[in-house]
Amino acid sequence: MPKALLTLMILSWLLNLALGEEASKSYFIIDGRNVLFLSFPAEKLTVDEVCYKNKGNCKAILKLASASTKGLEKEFKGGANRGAVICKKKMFGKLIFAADSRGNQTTFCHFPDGSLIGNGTILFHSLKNDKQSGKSDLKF
Amino acid sequence: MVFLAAFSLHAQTTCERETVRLDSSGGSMERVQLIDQGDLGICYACVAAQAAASTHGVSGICPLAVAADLAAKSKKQMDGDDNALENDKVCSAVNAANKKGYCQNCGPLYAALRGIDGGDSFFDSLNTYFNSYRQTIRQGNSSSWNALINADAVSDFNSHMCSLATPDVRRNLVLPVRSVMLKAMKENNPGLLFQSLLERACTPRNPAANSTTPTCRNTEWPTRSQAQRLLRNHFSANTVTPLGMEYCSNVFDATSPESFISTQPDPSDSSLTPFRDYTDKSDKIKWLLKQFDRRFMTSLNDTVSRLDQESTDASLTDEVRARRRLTHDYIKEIRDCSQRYRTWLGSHSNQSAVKNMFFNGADAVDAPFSTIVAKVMTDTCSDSITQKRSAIAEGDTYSSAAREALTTSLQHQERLGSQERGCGGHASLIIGTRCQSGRFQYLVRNTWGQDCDGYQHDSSSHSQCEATTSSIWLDEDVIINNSYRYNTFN
Repeated sequence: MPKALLTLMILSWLLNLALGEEASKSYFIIDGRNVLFLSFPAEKLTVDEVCYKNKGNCKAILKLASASTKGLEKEFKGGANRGAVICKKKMFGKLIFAADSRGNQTTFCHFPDGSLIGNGTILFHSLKNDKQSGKSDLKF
Repeated sequence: MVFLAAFSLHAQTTCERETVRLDSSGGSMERVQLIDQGDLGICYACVAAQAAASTHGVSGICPLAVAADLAAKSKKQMDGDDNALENDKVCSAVNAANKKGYCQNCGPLYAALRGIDGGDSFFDSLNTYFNSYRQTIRQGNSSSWNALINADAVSDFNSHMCSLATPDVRRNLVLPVRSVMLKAMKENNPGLLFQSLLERACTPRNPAANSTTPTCRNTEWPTRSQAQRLLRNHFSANTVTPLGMEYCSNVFDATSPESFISTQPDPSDSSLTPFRDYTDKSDKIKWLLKQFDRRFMTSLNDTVSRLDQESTDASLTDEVRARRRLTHDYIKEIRDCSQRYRTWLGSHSNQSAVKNMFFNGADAVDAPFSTIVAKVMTDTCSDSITQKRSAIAEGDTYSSAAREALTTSLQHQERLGSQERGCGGHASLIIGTRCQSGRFQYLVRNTWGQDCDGYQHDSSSHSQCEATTSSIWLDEDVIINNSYRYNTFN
């Protein structure tokens, strides 16, 4: 492999490490507003942009520590979106239906400070919390 | 030689087929919008609605209305805490919607409900209130529903219904008229009430009532090879329709291929499914009886054969052989009687007495196999079994064989009971196929939103999630080992 190419690859790798994981962006319409969401696949995290920027105080992220599937077996019926169930029953958030520009639906969990988090994120961290004695292992 | 062996292995594991995606340009699912069912247990209706939308070339059909139409048609009741909209079968929903016609959208009421909680709490509360109000009003002076559901009663009911709703939902509530209320109360049919609330979104219904498409056909409990044939034959370059799949959603909780391939309660038998996830009690009984055959009868048969051999074993003394013959007769009596009783149950699984015996009006029975065994031992064959039992000498150590056979069978039941609880019965559409690293994979369009975070094994080579399409590619093995019913649409 040419030395120049190898150097470029290492530089690129170092740059990625410095910048952290690249977030994928998507917009959803909620109550007529376009809201930007950021997704971090490796962290299994999808939150609205404002929440991410304010992650130390964002309720949606802080509440992940209390996310759990325990005691909800009966609620997970009919293929319900389990993240949505946990949102309401364990994290005491509100379920919000959003749509993309083509009308495709997605639900988010909404908290009193206005923050929004993906229900898939909630499910993932609930299962992880359950395995790890109720502690969220999100790293920022 | 090594080359030939390697080639042979390659030939066995390689699949060759064109990638098919019904959601790609020109495909029947291209325009069909993604659904997130939130916390409502209406996956079956979401599948039915999307399959119908695909057939009729429209972008969306309201799954909630499909669920309401089925609830009304089948006069469905609350099941525990679940309201009458939740938990049912895909083909039942398609058939009900065909008869009633399709709602192209969910309308302003559902939009308002979505804004607060997705609707689950509202419909739960409304269903509970419907049941209690019906009981209360029945205690009135008249035996005629027509007299009981007077204008005051309707007004009373409707004002309470409004109190269950938030202001935004209240603004969009279309209150049911007296004739609807009368019919719903008379028939004890909360589905009619739900149907009425959503009806504003359904005018005119399109396609209209008595649509002949899509037709929906179930393939229940297929064997492994049947399921494989069904999956492979369904998807070809000419495939137009998606395939419905009812399965254990706990497959998505597994973190590695090794575990997600065997999340079904009994991975050695791909035709099994957890009985708790069948909404139809007759189906549950059929499943239980199948388990009974495999786990209880097999064990008894083995014991009877073993004792039969030993009772003719020339190396044993006459006395020992005679004692073993008596034990053999005892176990054989239990086996034969169990078989007769099992046959009778199988042919009477539709009778309410049989359903009640297993479920006692609820799905709370934890030991259905014990129920059958108890019936055989203490009721149906009590006399003949006791007779054989008393023939065995008191304290005869060989009677422990009988206890062992029964205990082993019951242990199987207990283990199964704990395994089956985690299935998470679910339904989705399969909308594509491809070959990936020599394996057949299928594209499962889920109804949990545009999100990959909830799939624990997203990074596995045996699955690949696509957030923007709400879909996940799964290996054929994973599909087969975790599904219990397929729905074919035409």
